[in-house]
Amino acid sequence: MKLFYKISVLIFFLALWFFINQNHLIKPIFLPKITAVFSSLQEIIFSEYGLKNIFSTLGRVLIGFFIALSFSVPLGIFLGVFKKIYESLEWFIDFFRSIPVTAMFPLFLIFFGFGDASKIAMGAWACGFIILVNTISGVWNSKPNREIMAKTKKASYFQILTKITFFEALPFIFTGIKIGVSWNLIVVIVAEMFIGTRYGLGRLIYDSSITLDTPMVFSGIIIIGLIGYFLNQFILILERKIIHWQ
Amino acid sequence: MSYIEIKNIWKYFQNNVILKKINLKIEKGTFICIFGPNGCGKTTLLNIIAGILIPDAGYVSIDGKKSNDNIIGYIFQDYRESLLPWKTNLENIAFPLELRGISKKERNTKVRDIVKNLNLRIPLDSYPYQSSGGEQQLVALLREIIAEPKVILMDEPFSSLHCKSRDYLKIEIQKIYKKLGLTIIFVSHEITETMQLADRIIVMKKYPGEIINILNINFPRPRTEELVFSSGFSDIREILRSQI
Ligand SMILES: Nc1ncnc2c1ncn2[C@@H]1O[C@H](COP(=O)(O)OP(=O)(O)O)[C@@H](O)[C@H]1O
Ligand SMILES: [Mg+2]
Repeated sequence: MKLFYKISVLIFFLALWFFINQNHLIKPIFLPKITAVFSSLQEIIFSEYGLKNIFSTLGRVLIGFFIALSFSVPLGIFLGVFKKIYESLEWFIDFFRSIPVTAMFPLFLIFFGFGDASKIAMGAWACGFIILVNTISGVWNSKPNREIMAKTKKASYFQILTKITFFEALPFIFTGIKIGVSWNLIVVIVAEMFIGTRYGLGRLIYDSSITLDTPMVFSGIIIIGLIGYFLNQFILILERKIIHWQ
Repeated sequence: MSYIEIKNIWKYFQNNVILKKINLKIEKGTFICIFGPNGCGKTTLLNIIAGILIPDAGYVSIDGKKSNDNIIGYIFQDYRESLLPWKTNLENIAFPLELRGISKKERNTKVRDIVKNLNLRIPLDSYPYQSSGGEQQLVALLREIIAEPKVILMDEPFSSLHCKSRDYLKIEIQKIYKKLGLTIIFVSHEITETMQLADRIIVMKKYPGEIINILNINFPRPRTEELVFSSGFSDIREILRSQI
C-alpha cells in the first residue's frame, strides 16, 4: 500500500509535467518536454560518456567520504574523551566549521591542484567536520556505567575506547555520516562546476546549461537526486543493520 | 587480617558527611547485605569498595591488596545500562575474557560450560534486548563470575525486575553463591530480600551514613519466600524495621 502511494505521487508529477508540455504552459527552454528529458537520461545511462560522468562524481564522493570517516571518527573519539584538549581546540574547530568550504576554493586549488584531489579534499573537508562534531557529541552522550564496568574488569584505555566508547558513539556517528554524505555530494558537484573537470555530473549540468540543452540539465539534476536518495537509503539500511539494538 | 577490611572510611560531598567512620571486616565466602534507607550512602560505599570513588579518609583492602589492584565484580541496579547491547548474551558474559585476549573459541567453551554447570537457562545467542529482565541480570551476574573476582558487589540488582523474576533470581543467586563459594556484598533497602539472602546484615542509617547494627542471620538455605513463616523471622524483621 505504501509503495502504491509512492508510485501514485510519481505518476501524478509525471502527468502534471506531461499536461504542461501538451498545453504549452511553460516554454520548453525552462521546462523541457518530458520525452526529451527521457531521451537525455537514456543518453547518460546507456553511454560510456554518461556513465563516466556518473562514476566520476560518485567516486569522488565515496573516496572523500572514506577519507573523512577515517580521520573524523578516531579524532572525534579522542577529542570526546579528552575534554581538556577539546576545550582548547573548540574555537578552532568552530571557526573552520563556520567557513563554507566553497569560500575556500582558491586555497584548495593551491594545495591540491586542478585535478581530482582538490574536489575530493573539499568534499572530505565538509563531510569530515560534520562527522567529527557528531562523533564528539556521541562520546559525550554515552552513559558512564559500561565504562565503569570495563574498568572494574581491568580493561586498558585503548580497549575502553574501541570496545565501549566507539559503540556508544555509533548512533551519533551515523547521524554525522548521513548529513556528511549529503554535504559531500553538494560540495563535489559545485566543485565540478567551478573548478572544471573532464567528467562529472556537475560539469555535465554546467556545460549543458551553456549550450541551452535544458533536457540534459534536467537529466543531470535527476541523476544527482537519485544518487543522493539511494546513498541515503543505503546508509539507513546499513544503520539499521549495524545499530540493531536501538 | 580479614579477607576484606574496610577501615575508618569517611566521605564528604560538598561539606556534607555522607559516610562517617565506616569500619567493617568481611570473611571470604560470606554473603553480606548492606541494608539502609535511600540516601544513607550504600552506593557511595560500594563505589569506594570497588575503587571507583576515593574516600576522604580510610582505606579498603581486599585479600591484602588495595581494592584498585583487584578484579572486582560490580552489578548495577540497571542492567540495561551495563550490558553491551551490541553483543549477544554469550559475548557479554565472555567480555572479561575478551579483554584478557583469550581466543573466541576458548571463551565460548568457557561460557557454555559455566551456564551448564550452574544449570541455568539463558538464551546465549540472543541479544540482551531480546531477553527478559531476569535473564539480562543473570547475564550480568555471569559476566562478573567469569572474571573470577575477589568480591562481587551488587547494588539493588533486583529492584528494577518484575517480582516473578526477582523471586527466581533470589533462589538462583543463593545456589550460585554456595556452589562457587563467592564473596558477595549486596545492597538492599528491602527487608525480606535482605533476610532471604544475607549471612550478615549491616544496618546503616542516614545523615550521616553510619553503621548502626550488624546482625547474623542463620536460617538454612536456600531460603524461599516461605522464610517469612519461620520462627525468628519476625523478631529480626522488627529489629530492622525499628532501625530505619
Ligand atoms: N556525586 C555526588 N555528589 C553529591 N552528593 C552525592 C553524590 N553521590 C551521592 N550523593 C549524596 O550522598 C548521599 C548518599 O547517596 P547514595 O550513596 O547514592 O545513597 P544510597 O545508595 O544509600 O541511596 C545522598 O544524600 C546523595 O544525595
Ligand atoms: Mg543507591
